[in-house]
Amino acid sequence: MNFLYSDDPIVACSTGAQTNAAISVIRISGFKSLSFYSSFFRLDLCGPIEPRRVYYTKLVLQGQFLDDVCLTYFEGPRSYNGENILEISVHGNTLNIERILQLFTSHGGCRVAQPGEFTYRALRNKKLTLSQVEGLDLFLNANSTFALDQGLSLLSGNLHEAYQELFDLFLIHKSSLELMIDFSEDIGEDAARQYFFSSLERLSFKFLSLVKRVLPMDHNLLRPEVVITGLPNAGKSTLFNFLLSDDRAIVSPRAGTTRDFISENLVIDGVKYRLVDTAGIRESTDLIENEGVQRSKQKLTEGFFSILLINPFEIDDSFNFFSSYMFDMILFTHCDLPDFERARAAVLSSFSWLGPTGAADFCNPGNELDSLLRDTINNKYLLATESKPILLSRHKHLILSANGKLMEYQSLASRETDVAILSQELNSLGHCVSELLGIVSPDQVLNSIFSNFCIGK
Amino acid sequence: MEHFREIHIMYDVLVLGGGHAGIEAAYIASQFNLRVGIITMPGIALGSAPCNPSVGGVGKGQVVREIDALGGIMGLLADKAGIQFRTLNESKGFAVQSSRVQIDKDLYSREAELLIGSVPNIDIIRQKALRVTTNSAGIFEVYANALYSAKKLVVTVGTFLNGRLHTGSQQANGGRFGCDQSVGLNDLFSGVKTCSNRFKTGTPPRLNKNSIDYSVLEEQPSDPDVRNFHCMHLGFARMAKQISCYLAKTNQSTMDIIRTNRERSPMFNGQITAVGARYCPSIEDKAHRYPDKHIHHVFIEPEGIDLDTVYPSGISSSLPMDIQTKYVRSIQGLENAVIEVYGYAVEYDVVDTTFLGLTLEHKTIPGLYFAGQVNGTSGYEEAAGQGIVAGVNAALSSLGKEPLILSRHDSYIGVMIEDLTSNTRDEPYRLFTARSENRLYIREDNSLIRMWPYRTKMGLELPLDQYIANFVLSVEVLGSFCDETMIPESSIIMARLAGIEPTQQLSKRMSVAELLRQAWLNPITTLQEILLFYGLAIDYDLIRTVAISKKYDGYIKRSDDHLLKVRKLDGMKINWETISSSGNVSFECRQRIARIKPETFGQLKLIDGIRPATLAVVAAKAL
Repeated sequence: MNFLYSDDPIVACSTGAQTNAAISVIRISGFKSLSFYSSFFRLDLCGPIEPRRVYYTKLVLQGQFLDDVCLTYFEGPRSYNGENILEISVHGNTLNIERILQLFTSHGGCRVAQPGEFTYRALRNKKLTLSQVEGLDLFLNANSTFALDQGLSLLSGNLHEAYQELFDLFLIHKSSLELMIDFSEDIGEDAARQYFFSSLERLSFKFLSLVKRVLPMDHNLLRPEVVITGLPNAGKSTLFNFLLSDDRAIVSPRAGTTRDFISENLVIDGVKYRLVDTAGIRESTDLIENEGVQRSKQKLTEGFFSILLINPFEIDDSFNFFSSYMFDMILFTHCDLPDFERARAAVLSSFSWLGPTGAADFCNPGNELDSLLRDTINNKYLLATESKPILLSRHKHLILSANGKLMEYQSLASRETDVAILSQELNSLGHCVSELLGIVSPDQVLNSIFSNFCIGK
Repeated sequence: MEHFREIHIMYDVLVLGGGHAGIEAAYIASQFNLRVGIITMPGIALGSAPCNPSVGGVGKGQVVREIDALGGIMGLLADKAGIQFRTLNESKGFAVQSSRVQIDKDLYSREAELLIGSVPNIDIIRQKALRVTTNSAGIFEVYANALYSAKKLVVTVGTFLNGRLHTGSQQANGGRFGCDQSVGLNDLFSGVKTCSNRFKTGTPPRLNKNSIDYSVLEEQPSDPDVRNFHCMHLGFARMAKQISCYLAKTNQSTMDIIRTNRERSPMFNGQITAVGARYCPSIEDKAHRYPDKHIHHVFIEPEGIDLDTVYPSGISSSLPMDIQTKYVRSIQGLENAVIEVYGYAVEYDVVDTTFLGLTLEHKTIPGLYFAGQVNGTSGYEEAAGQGIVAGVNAALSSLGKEPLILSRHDSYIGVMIEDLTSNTRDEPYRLFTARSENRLYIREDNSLIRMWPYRTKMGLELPLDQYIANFVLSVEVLGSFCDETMIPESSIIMARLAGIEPTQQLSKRMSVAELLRQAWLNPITTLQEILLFYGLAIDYDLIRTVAISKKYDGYIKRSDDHLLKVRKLDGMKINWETISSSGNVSFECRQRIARIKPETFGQLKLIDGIRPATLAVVAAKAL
């Protein structure tokens, strides 16, 4: 990526140019002077342009009228990214947008912005920290109110503060080590040693609190999935359709109808889940079906919430396959059939790993089941987000790897007497901590962050 | 200027100041067979020690050995005048161990006079310099009692520039107790544009050694196992009589006396405005900055065998005399102490070192070099380290040869000079091991190996060169012996090692080098024992250097791999003009960059207050 060092004026549509809309906002950043664009606007209609005011005027090219627009000028450094920025609200027809972008690229000295380039410049000009940029990304792409809130909180610098505290504690510990080497005569051996161990304790305590927010790592709260599974013909698709109230999955009495998993969005209390209907898990010679089984198994381990459906009338030893997974809910289906109670009891006694509790019956989907499921899922989500887990995988990864380094270091500190060697090991922990702060961020980090952005922001 | 007696001597290198920086600069320059002069204040001996009577210390010991390996004289003089030797950080690993020697300060100066006086091509001119100008040919003209001309001028005037002394409300002009001051920097260089800041340093009261009750103090005898500094001196033979230092401690009443007299301290009542060092606080600083702490160490250091005074390290002060007497006598063991000279603080002009290059030559005045405390450093060792670099480069430059620049990656002198020249200091600069990124490599035991490439670049062929060349070769030979000799898991050697210290069973056959890396072995005694087993009688210095190098090899390689990337980027040439006019760099950063004119990314990084964003912009440009 070469935009890291470019400071050309850039232009992009900030509101998405894929579909027609009433209004779209085109943004230009990094031009030297507004006067360069004065011939593009009918200034006689609106008068001279002052920063941070909205003007209604006409966009023209060599006298030819293009669009009625509203424009706002933000003068650097008091702008989103510290550069001069011009925001033009235009009519949101995609062709119109294209034509106006063309105007600025061919006559306005601009080039089309790379994804995330506006924001990169904000980072470069110290308008945002790296964490804030990530927060913005999270905010813009959030699919739950929790993610939205965490994005907002990152954007306002909250998580950054926690990392700053961690970094400060690291520095204190680092300096206690240096103190031991360079100043032990001044403060005395014992005091130096005591300072060393007490600061290490404080550092690891702070680490612990962050690690708690990173664990458990096994399900992804950014895209939480509700997985429905069970043996073929257990009634998975019926439940799926019921929850979505439409006929998305193919329901038929023949076993193995759902060959792959099907997923749809399900919104519960402001959180957007993926509801996943897995393929019936069973031995099959059908290649496609086997592929589906493999993917179902994967979904089972990754899903945020998993539901096991049991048809007590169609069950065999292959059911034991599920004993190695954890389920949030186990439901018996077909309870309207005669002999259900007996069949259910037989299942519970032959598959003792199911346990006596946790099983509910479900004959015909109804309001009761609907609210039971929604409440249970929502409760689990609230519980999972109670500890304010950190959602960004870069942060998770760094926190865990830094914590690993810390543990290695602690064990070294308990046996190594060579403090120069200790100090060197501590440095590598320092690199992790400072990466978390975005102080020294390798270019890949920047690349990956900025390539995740939609054009225009 | 007709009233000045014209002297028709043109010096190749003229040194202004005869302190630790000055004598190093003059001595090394004289080795190139140049005509060298030292102008020094009348009445002050060469290489005098106006503050603490010791040479070396953590980080500083390394510097003394670097100076020694480059052909300097500080180590040699310290050995001759050394009356108590000590290894600091002895229990913390070889990389941070440093030697320190208490010196007899009279003996030290006498040896310095003797040594410099015996060099035929150095003139010692005992006069006060008043003014320096340059003529149209770029020759420096120094006005003292006469006019002296020089092609290269090295300024090592210490704390004398516009020096002002404070003891309580008493003030006097002077560079140190009982000495005249020199004129201010800007007066001295009225014809040359320099730039000055003002710093402060202090010194404790000197006590009469016979007025102290040593029986209640902790004795610290001289350690016979510290190797002499000069590489060609016999390792452990002491040249002067050895005596002890003693440890005393302040108590609550000491600190209370100081705290209740806050208003009478020139540092707290506004009389002194210059900046002192945070790492070298006066006893007033300690009292007010740490109001809960009452016990501070006070090292009672003899100033000389025949001198009646001792230096109580740790209680430097500029309080009025009556308070100094009171607080000194509140310390156990010092109840009847007699103060011979009262403590004082001195304020003085220093050069803005960002105007200097890595050779310590002024960036806009070719041929003018600055070294030592005038550059805002503290400590004799720091001064001497700069002195030798300035002296070598003044000499090389006058011979039209390439400059000699020490890298921060293999020397503390290099660390210091790069730190100094890349930043304006707001407090006196002292070397710490923490300032180096390469602490595992920059050790005392390998100073000859580290400095040899620099020494050979000087192109001198003296006995020292013979000695080091031999040593370096022998280290290589012994090093390959360690790499190639295999020790079986159970062997007579291992059994013998077990006889010396608790030994673990080897898990596999390994080379001697690998064995030395084992954390549970002392590498030196291990290698000694192995060589004895093979019937090889090898010099202790060699064994020590090789054993410790082998111990750290693995760690250093790892650190090198890590540093390689950093170093590659650090070495990258940058165009400061482009950066300082870039719209992407904050105004403040642009100003700093334009002033300091960094040439590499590494130097840019060292500038205080450079924002990460600026570094990112510059680094990205290089990729």
